[in-house]
Amino acid sequence: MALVPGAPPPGAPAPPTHAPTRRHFWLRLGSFVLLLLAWEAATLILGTRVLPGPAEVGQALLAAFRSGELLFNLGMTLYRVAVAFVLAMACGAAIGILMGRRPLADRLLDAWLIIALNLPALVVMVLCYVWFGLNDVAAILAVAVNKIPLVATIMREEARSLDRSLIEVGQAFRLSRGRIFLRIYLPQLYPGLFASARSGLALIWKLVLVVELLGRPNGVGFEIRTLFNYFDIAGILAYTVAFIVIVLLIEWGMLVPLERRVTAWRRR
Amino acid sequence: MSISVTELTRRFPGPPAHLALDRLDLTVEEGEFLCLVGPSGSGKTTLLRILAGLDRGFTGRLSLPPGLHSAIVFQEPRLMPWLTVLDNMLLVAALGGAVARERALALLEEVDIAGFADAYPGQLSGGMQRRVALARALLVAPELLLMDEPFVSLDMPAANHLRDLVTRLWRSRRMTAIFVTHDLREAVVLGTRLLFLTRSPGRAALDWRPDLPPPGERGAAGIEAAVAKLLARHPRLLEGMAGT
Repeated sequence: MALVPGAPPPGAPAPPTHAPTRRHFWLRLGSFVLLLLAWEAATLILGTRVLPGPAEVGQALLAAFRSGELLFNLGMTLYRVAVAFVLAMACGAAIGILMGRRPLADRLLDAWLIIALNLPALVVMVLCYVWFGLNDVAAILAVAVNKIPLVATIMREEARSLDRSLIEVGQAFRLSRGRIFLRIYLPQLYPGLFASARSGLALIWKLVLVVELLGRPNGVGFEIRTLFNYFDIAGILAYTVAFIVIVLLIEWGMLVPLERRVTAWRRR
Repeated sequence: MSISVTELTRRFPGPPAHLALDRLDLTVEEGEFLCLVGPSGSGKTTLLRILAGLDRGFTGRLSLPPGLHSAIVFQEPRLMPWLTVLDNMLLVAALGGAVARERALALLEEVDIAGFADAYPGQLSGGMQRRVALARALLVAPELLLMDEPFVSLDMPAANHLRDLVTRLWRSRRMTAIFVTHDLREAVVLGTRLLFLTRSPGRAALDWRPDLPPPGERGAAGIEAAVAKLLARHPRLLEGMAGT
């Protein structure tokens, strides 16, 4: 059989085309412009006192940036988001994989997981502040504890669907447990890890703002509470916009490229 | 340096409970090409999995030479879809770096798929994936090569090509091979010895060494005559077996 390197062999599946196109970029840009126009229209209807327009919010953003408060508060919030995110992903993934692979652990922890999933986030936050004091440890712990059950649930399902036949390859060739985990287990868990990371980031930064609002002396949540006291809606929106931009940058600048890299084989 | 099993029994608790192997005795001498032949449910794959160390739920005695290098080719290629062909091979390599890479590339050339080292398994045909699986097994320089119906579901030319390849590699490497099949003709083409197993529970029904030249030197007429002679002598040997 004559085979030509690079050419797909007969019977091989056709490579799917998921490459981002220029059209997608213009669609996204158009959607963003539409959102700004809708915002401006809403401002005209409701009045700037209730809903400041994009220009006024932009000015507030610039002022907060120049004063240095924006960067400081964003930095504090990002620090809490990062620590809580890593903690929640590590603990949630470990618990989820354990439950997905060991039926005994699944039976033991299943009820706990259901309880944890249904525990109101606010209750966890208040209890953490009561038990550990008004400090960063309590704030970060409260956020992580809220997110861990969600990560565990996603990872449990992912671990349950692992292809055992591939793991047997590692066992048959007597690979070390570490090598089997890193090279055979983990790549199969990537879809669940990325799903958890993306939903986790979206949830965690919202929770961090609430814990800051409740009990921290800095951060975007704290600043929003201060601005609320002055009924400074433009300031509130300025901080919100700034933080959303950062989260989108993390999503598009880190998570999406990383996901594309580790799932490149699916597009070949 | 022989491999032996004594009173080997494997019972799957179920439900329903199933006795796959029942007090099987077998000794495989070094350099033999043993074909395990039997219908579905005769415990061929179970025996292979026990020899590969993938099933430890048996009773009886399994004796393998200490430090034996073994490798397995499964019924399905079982390549990691997220790794390239070369990385799939390097995954199982005991040695690292340039040496393993060089050996892997040489093996890919030997199984006629040089040039596809950077392809992903999903880009290869079924026959090519099986060749990668065979090359992967050979990369660990096995003294014992286990193969579980590796050519099933391939078209005849591709299967014949791979049989020739396996024979050539077995002869050049002087390793022991155990090959599971339910195809009598395939077993006569490849094996220096054929062990027929009964339908569940698997017991040895016939241990036969064909009076033929070594594998790779057997002509089609000799193979057909050996098959016909065997079936004439043991007409009920292949009951329940497909593909014969």
